[in-house]
Amino acid sequence: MQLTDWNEPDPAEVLHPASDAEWDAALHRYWGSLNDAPLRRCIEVARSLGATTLVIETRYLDIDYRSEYSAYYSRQFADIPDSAHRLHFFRDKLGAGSLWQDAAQARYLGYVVVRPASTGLVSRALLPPPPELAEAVRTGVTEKVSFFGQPLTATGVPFAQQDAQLGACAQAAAWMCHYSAHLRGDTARRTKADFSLMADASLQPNRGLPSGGLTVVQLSDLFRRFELPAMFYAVGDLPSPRLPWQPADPVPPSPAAGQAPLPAGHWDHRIIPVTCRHLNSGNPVLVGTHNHAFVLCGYRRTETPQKGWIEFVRHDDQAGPYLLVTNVLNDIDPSTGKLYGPWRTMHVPVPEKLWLAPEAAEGKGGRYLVNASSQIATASSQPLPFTSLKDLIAADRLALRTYAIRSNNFKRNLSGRGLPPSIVQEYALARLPRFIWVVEAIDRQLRQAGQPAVVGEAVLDATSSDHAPEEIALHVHGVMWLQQTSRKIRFPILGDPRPYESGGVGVA
Amino acid sequence: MSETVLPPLSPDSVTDKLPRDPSDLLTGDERHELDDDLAQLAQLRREAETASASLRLG
Repeated sequence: MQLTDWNEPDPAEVLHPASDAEWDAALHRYWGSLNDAPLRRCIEVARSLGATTLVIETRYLDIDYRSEYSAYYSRQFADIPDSAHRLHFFRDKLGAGSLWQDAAQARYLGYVVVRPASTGLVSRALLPPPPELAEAVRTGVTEKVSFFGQPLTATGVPFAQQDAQLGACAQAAAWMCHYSAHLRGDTARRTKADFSLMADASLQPNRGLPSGGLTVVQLSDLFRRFELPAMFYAVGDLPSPRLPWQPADPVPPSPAAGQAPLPAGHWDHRIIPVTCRHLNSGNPVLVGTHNHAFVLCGYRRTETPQKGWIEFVRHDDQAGPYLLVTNVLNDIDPSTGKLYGPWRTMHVPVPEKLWLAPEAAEGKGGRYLVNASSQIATASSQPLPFTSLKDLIAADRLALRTYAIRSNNFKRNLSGRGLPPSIVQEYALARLPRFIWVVEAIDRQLRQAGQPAVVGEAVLDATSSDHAPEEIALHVHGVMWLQQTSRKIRFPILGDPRPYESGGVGVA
Repeated sequence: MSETVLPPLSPDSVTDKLPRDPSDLLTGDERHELDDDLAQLAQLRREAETASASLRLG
């Protein structure tokens, strides 16, 4: 990469690259770093979204790079620039003469901040997902961007590349999760350098700088101190709701004679539901392997290699944003062949008062939904105007969708989901904690047909105990029980049994 | 005189046959089984924490 005249031209340059060669030429001064792949992937994403204008804002005082500069680069012998570049992408043509006033009309896509470090170019980026993954991505957030005085917005999942000096992949992945939460309004801003400087040095034997990554406990400690205590999972010991109709917990395969046991990341299929519960809530999941860390930001269902197969979407600081994970138990990047190896740990940084574990919520909510459904079916006259959950189980059509949500958002979204007004009214007037876990009963057949597929839900208090999850509401087949804070039960609240849309993030 | 915000509720022939308290939707045995499962989940979490404390991420 070329650092001469780093701050020129003042204040920016405007380019309209159209071909591969023109894009390469437009970005010529950056190429040749130790790992260009993340920036190349960012450009690929921007181009997939139809970017036709590239504005390179020079001497951009990026708070994250400046934190790294203060903590590390300013103390090096070499002459390292103290500012970054911010690359802005627009879908429409924006002329150099009018960029100071016409940016809002040029359909802003997003930005990439490039730092002057040949060990890691992308300080941070916020780009929308490529069109083919737009539905799959579930942890997107919106950022306000000031472009030469004009307010613009970009929506996507924050991405960052480690600089391999002050920070490693663990810090980059932690920053991606944390910045997402910051843009959601869940926590204060933390700079990149904080993720290295504030790591508890007593929790690892080596010195903290240059960074060799973080231990699992250092990472948990950082999230705790940054007001986003992480739910932690060890692959091989993953929790499940233990509901009798769901797939049984996996048993570790017996190793062949003389062979080491198969790593849990090759057989623990509970990775999938554990991860999906958090992605349904809009929370990214930080995955650790034996030598790497990355972030999951979405998932989608495919028909190959079998019906209902789940593919995840990954932000890998060493490869770029929005990359597919086609098989979690044999994780090889489908386009590059990069072998990730078995997953070992997962951290999910969440707001502090999300105390109840999702698996405990689902375990309780699922049982009560099924029993309530059966008793409503028994009490109703034939023919039933609904299919009972037991019948859905028998036909392998029942799925549970569990997610955490701010109760205010839950209430706000209800009217657009097709619930009966009487049920919307009761939820709107109910006293709810700030965060709730929602366990939805979903008819897979309706979901596959693209129709409203939720036939009931249990709402649980996110501040209740894993040992005794507190159910606030139970609603199935048009009958609802609601527990008031006085411990009185409002019953019977009547709606109708028609299915409605899910309230989780993204397609059910 | 203040007005009541919550709408009045009236049972019908179906809800007359259902328990008023949703806790009664599970039998005593089912509740006991649920409590056991929840306790095991909490135990599993403690074991996972202990086993993973020294792992390093890149």
